[in-house]
Amino acid sequence: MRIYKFKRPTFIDDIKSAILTALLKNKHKKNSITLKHNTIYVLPSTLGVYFSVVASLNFVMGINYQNNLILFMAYLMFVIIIFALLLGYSNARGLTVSFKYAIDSFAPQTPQLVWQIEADDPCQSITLSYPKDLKNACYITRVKNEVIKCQLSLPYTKRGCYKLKPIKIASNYPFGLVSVWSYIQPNKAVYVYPSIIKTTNQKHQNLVANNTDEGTEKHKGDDEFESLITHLPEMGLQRISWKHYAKTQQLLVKQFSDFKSADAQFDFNLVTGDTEQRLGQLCFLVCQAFESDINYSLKLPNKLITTNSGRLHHQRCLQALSQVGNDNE
Amino acid sequence: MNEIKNHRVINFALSFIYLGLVSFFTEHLPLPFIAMLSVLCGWNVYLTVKQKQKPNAWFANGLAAIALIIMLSSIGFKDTVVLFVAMLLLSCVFKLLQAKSKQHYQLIITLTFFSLSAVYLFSQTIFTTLVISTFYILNFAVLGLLESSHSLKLSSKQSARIMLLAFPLAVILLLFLPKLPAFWQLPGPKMAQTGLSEQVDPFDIAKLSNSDELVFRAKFNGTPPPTPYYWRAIVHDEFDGAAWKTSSFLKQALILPAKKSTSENEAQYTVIAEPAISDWLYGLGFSSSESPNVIANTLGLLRKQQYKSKVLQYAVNSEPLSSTSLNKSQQRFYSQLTVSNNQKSQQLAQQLKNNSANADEFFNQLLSYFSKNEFSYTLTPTPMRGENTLDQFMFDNKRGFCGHYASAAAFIFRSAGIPARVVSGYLGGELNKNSDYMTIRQYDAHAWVEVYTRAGWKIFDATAVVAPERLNGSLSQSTTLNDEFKNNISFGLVSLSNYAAINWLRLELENLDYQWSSWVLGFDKDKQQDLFATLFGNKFIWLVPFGVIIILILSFTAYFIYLNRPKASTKQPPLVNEYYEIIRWANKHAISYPENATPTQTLEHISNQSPHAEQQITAFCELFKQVRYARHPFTKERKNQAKDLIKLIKSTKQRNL
Repeated sequence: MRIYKFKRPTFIDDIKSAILTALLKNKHKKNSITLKHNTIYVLPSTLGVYFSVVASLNFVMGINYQNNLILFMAYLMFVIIIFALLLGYSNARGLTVSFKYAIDSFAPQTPQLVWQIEADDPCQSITLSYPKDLKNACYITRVKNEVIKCQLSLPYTKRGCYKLKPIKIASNYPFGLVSVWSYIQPNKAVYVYPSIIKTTNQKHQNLVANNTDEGTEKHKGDDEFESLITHLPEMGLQRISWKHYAKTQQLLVKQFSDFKSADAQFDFNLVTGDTEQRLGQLCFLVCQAFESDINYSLKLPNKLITTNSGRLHHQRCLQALSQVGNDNE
Repeated sequence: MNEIKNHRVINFALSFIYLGLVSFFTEHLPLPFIAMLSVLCGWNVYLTVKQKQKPNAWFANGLAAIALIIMLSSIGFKDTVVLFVAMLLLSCVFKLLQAKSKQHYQLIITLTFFSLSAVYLFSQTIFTTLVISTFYILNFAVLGLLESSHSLKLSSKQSARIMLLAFPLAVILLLFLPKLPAFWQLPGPKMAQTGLSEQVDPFDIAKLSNSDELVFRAKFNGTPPPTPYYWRAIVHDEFDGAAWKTSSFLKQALILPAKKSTSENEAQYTVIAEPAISDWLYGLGFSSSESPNVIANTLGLLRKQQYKSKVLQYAVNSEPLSSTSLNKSQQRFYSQLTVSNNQKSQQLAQQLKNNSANADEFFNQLLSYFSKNEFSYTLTPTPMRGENTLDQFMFDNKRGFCGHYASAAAFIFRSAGIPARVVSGYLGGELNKNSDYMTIRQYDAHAWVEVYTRAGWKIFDATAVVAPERLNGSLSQSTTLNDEFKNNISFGLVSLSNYAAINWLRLELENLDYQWSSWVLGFDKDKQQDLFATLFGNKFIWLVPFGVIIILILSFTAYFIYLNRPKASTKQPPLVNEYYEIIRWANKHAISYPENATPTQTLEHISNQSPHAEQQITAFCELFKQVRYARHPFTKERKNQAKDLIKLIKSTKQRNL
C-alpha cells in the first residue's frame, strides 16, 4: 500500500544521494575501509563556521578600533581553525573500519551491524552513524593500537528487507571545529522479520503432530533405545552397558535414537488474519519448528521454500517472510 | 556524541570566565548591573555544586526580561559600546544559566571568544592581556571538553599547545599583514577618569586626590629641550566669578593645516597617550602634528580625531609659544572680564599696574608679590566659598595648589588689562634613564597662566616661586612635598618609592609597560612601514604580503607533515635493540643464520661463524638470557656491558678484515 503524499524532501534526498553516488564512485562500497587522502572529507563544522564568523567579527572590531590585541585574537582564531582542519584530517587518517556481520531482528526490534574499528596511530572521537539517525550513533572515544568492536543499530523497526545505505564515519576532533567524515557501504541487506505472533492454529499443529506419529526417519538421539553396538576405546567406560557385559562378557554400548519428526508444511493461506498477522504466525511456527528441529517447508503467496531444516533454512524462511509484499526484492 | 560528559567542569569553567570578565568591567558598567551578573554567575556555580536542575525556560526568560530592564535603566542608551558589551555579557550569562544541550554550550563558548576581545576595548595593559589570554586558553579547553571526556587539565594542556603553535603565526600575521584602515567609524567606549577638566575651579576642593595613573609618555628625538616642561592640554579663557572655563568660541578654535616648518627652536618628540574619555592631547608650547587621527588647532593644542579608547601614538613638532602673535581684537578677547567681584584682587592689580611701565614689568611685580607674601603650596587646601574666593585666597588663606595660583594670577592680569588665560595640562614628568622617555602621570596635572606681552605669549607660573622644586621633574621626585604627596596618593608602588629595590622594580615595570605601549599597542601603519623599510628596504615592500602567504603555507605544510609523520616504533623491551644491532652487523658481514630461529639460536649461529667475535657474542647471549628469560633486572651495569660488548663485536670484525 502506498500513501500518495507529496513529499519534497524525498525528491531532494534522491538528487542528493545521486550526486553523492556519482561523486564517490563506489570508493566506499566495501566491507572494510582504511581512511586515507582520497576517502577523507574535511570541512569546518557548524561550530567551526560560527567560530570563523566570530573571528571575522573580531577582525572587523580590531581593524575599526585599530586595536592590535583584538586583531591578534582574530588572527589567532584564523590560524587555529586551519590547524584544526589539519589536525582533524590527521586524526582520521589511518583509521580502519570493517563490517563484521549483521544481526537481523524481529520487528519491532532494530537490526544491528557489528563493526570492528582499529588504528595504529591514536584516533579520537569517532562516530559511526546511519543516515538520518544520529540518535543511535555509535561513539568511540579513542582508538590506539587496538581493535574495538561496536554495534550500530539501524533505524528500521518495520518488517522488511533493507539494503544498507552508506554509513557515515565522522569525527569532530579537535574542539568540534571541523567535521571530518567518510562513508562505508557494505553491499549487504538487513532483514527485519515479522514480529512473532503465537498461534495455536489447528491445521498446522495437527500437521506437526500427525507427522510426528508417523515417524519416518530416525537419527541419533537420546529418546529411544535403538540397538547395541560394540564398544570402541574412545567411547569411555561410562557408556558400557555392564548388564550386557555380565551376560555376554562383551563390551557393548547402547545406541539411542530420536524419532525424526515428519515434515511440516507452513502455508500462508492456512493461517488467518491480515497479511502481517499471518506472517507473524508463520514466523512463530517456523521458529518453533527450528527449535524442535523438524523439517518444514514454507509456502508464501509468491514463493515456495522447499522442505529442509537447519539454521540456514531457518534464516532463508525468515528472510522470505520479511520480504513478502516487498517489490524491491 | 550529543550528550556532554563534563557538565560540571564546563559550567564551573564558564562561570569562572564570566566572573573574571565581569570584574574587568567594574569601572565601566554601573554597579547594580555588575552585581546582577555576578549573582547570576554565582547562581550557576551553586546549581552546579548542588547538582540541581537549571531553571526552566519560562522562569529564566522572565528573569532575563527583568535583567534587561535593570540593564537599560542603569546604563541607558548614551554609550552604545558599553550597552553592546553589557548586552553581550547578559545574554551569555543567561544562556549559561539555561544551557543544557551541547549546542547551547557551543554557542556560549563561541560568543565568549567575542566577549573576551571586548575587554580589550577598555583595557590593554599587560595584566589584562595575560588574564584574557588565560581565559582564552581555558575557553578553548572547555570547547575541547564538549567533544571528549578528558579532564580539564588534559584539555587545557592540549588547548595551550595548539595556542602556542598558533602564536608565532598570528604574530607574523600581525606584523606583516598590511594594516587596513578602519572600514567604518564605530563609536568608542567612553572612559571614566581624567585628571583635567574643562573648568578650573579649585576653591571648593579640600583635598586633591592624586592618582598615579599613567597619562602619557613622551620620547624626544635628539636632545630634549630645556626644562621646565609645560605640557599644554586645555586653554581656559572665560572667568565666571568663581571658575575659569573654556568659552564656546575657543572650543571651536580653527583647525590648523599641517605645516612643515623647520625652525631651529622646534622640539620634536613622540607622545604615547593612554586611552581617556577626553579628546585633548598633550604638547609643549605651540604644537603641531602630522600624525593621522590628531588635529592641531590655532591655539597650538592637539586634539584626537577618533579612537578615544585606544592608546594613541603621535609625533609632535613644538615651537616656542612666543612665535604666535595676537591682533587687537584677540588681545581684547583675552583681557575681558565680565564679572566685578574680588575687589581686593582688582585693587592689587591696579596698584601693581601703577607701579609698572609695561606688561613685562607687571609680570615680574606679580611674581615677586607671590614670593614675598608667604604664599605656600599645598595639596590639602582650605575650601573657600562665597562670592570672592580669589580675594580669600590672595589675602587670607595664601595656601593652595596650582589651580588657586593660576586662577588668581590670570584674574589679576586681566584686571590690569593684560591679555591672559589659564592653561591646564601637566608639568614635568619622570625621566626613565634606561629608555630615555618621560612618564607623565595624573599627579603631574598642573595649571598655569599664559600672559601676552610684547614678546608674545609667556608662561606665568606662581608655583615657580612658591614651590620652585615643582618645576623640575615630577612631583614624585620633589623632596619638600614628598611626604605630603605620598600621604595623598593611593597606595601603590609610587608611594613606596623611598625603598631602592621597590623603586627599581617600579621603574622596570614602567619600562616594560612603555615597551608594551610603544611596540604592541602602538604598532600602527607607520611603524609597520618603518619595520618593512628596515627589514626589506624600500624596494621590496610589495613582496611582503607574498612573503606572509608563503610563510603561512610553509608553516601549515610543515605542521601537516609533522602530524602525519610515520610514528617512531614503540619502545622495545630491554636488549632487543642491541640484539638487532648484532643482527645488522651480521647482515653487513654476510654471516648467515636460519630465519626462523630463536634469538639465542641465531646468536649461536652467528658466533660459530665469526671466530674472532665468538667470545663477545657468547657473553652477549648469556646477558640476553639473563635479562630476557631469567628476569634479572636490566641495571645500568648490564646496559653498559651490552654496549661494550657490541662495540667489541664490531671492532673485532673490522680488525679481521
